[in-house]
Amino acid sequence: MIRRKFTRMVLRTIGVSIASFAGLGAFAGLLKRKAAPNPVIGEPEIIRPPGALEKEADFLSQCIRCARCRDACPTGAIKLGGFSDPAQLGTPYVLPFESGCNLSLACTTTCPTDALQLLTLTKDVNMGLAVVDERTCVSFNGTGVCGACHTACPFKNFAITQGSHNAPTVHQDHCVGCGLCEEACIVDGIKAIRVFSGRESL
Amino acid sequence: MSKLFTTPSGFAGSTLVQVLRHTIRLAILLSIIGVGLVAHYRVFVTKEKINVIQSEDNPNLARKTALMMHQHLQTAEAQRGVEQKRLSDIRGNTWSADIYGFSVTDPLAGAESVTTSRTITKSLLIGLALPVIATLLLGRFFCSWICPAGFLFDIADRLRALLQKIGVPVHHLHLWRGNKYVLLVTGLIIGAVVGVPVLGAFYPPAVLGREISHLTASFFSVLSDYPVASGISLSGLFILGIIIAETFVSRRLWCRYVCPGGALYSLIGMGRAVRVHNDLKQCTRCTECVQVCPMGLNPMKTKSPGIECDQCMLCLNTCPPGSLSLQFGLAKQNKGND
Repeated sequence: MIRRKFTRMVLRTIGVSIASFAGLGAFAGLLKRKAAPNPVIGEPEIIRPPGALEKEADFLSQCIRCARCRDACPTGAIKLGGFSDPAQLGTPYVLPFESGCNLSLACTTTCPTDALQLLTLTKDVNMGLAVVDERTCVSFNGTGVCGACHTACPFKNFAITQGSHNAPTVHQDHCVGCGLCEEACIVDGIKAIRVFSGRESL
Repeated sequence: MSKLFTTPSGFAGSTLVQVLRHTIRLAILLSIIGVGLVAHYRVFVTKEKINVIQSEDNPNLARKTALMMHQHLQTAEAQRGVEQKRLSDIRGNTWSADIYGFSVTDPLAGAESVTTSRTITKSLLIGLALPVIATLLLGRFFCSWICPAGFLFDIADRLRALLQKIGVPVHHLHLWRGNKYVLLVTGLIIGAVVGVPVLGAFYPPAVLGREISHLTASFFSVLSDYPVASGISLSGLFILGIIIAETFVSRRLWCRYVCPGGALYSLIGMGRAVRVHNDLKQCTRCTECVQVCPMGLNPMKTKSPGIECDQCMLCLNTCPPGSLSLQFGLAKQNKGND
């Protein structure tokens, strides 16, 4: 009797584990899809909040998708991935053309798993690097004098310096990739200054 | 061994416990909504201020944007300087909450994060401390005293009873209880292999928390025109599906047979100190407690109803002779009673 009960339990365990391996495996494949192209930038680029672990794989495995960083963000710059978003389901990302990061670093203090590591200095942030498109930039192509990105930059005269007609030059050593310049850029559509994270999208 | 809580039949305190339990869970559900509203209201106010600056008739566009960005940075600096406690310093949900810097994380979230990333961080351990210690003492109490999804499933339970009373046919599907343990283990293994936590994506309290966070964010985005990320509304339908299934197919289908979080809480709370105890001298074997138990357990067993008991105390409160009580004691001491 006990033996029959035991074999039944073993058979059930095997059956359920096969079924759940198949189901959860398919579900995990759905979750771990490649990043969809960003609707505006047109490239599968994901910019993570400040302090995010450098390797995307480490970040994805450590993040528990709790939305605490989104709630902590004072300017609503952090968004969470949905089924149709570039980022994976529930993971935080930043779209600088909508809202740049104001470097409050609130998200790094609240992360429960240190997927966003605690930062105290704004200069330690490494979200990406701003790149100027000289063809569309107003100050570069001679259609005007702007300088919006320079005034918006929290590290002005270090990360962004101005040339003639307020033409911006980005300096890699000081740029943290906060994206405030991209948000401030006056060019419509695809901005003339854009932040690239250089993260491999998994 | 000492009796913690006994309820003789007709004792007025018995309903009080249930009222307290439902109130706590409703309060938690409402506070998750409130926390989301407060957090996103703050964003809404900041964005509105920026909008006002942008809409002012300013000939110099660069200066306009500069003003806007300075507003941004000023709020940031002000926040860093402020040390007093504010309402917006409470954030998160039952999946993971941050209460004035004190972190509380669901053990399932911790288990998944540890197995998928193969690293244990200090802040995760701090967050896990309180729930794990509480579960070691009280067992699977999370499911009936805290879980906001469990609250919704309890409503489905009531609906089910109501439908039965009216005469609507409902099914009584019984599955194997081991399902949830198998699901927990396979989920953790797949997470470790793929490198993406899987269980958290469909664990109802986590889904509910994320969904509420998204809904509160989009609530304010309707008021203003600042863009908000598209959400995870599909998983809201998933919760609705569970509620419908629990109403028509099987009582507490999810909690009894599927929930991986409940399985983990059961396993952590295996040697719980507080458990339901049946006094055989008083027990009349009326099986009232068996019928009332939401988890489908048998509280008439002397030792305890088992590791899956979620301490909802419904059996204590319905027991006509009052033979059931909560007892405090370690597992080894309890064995002597058999």
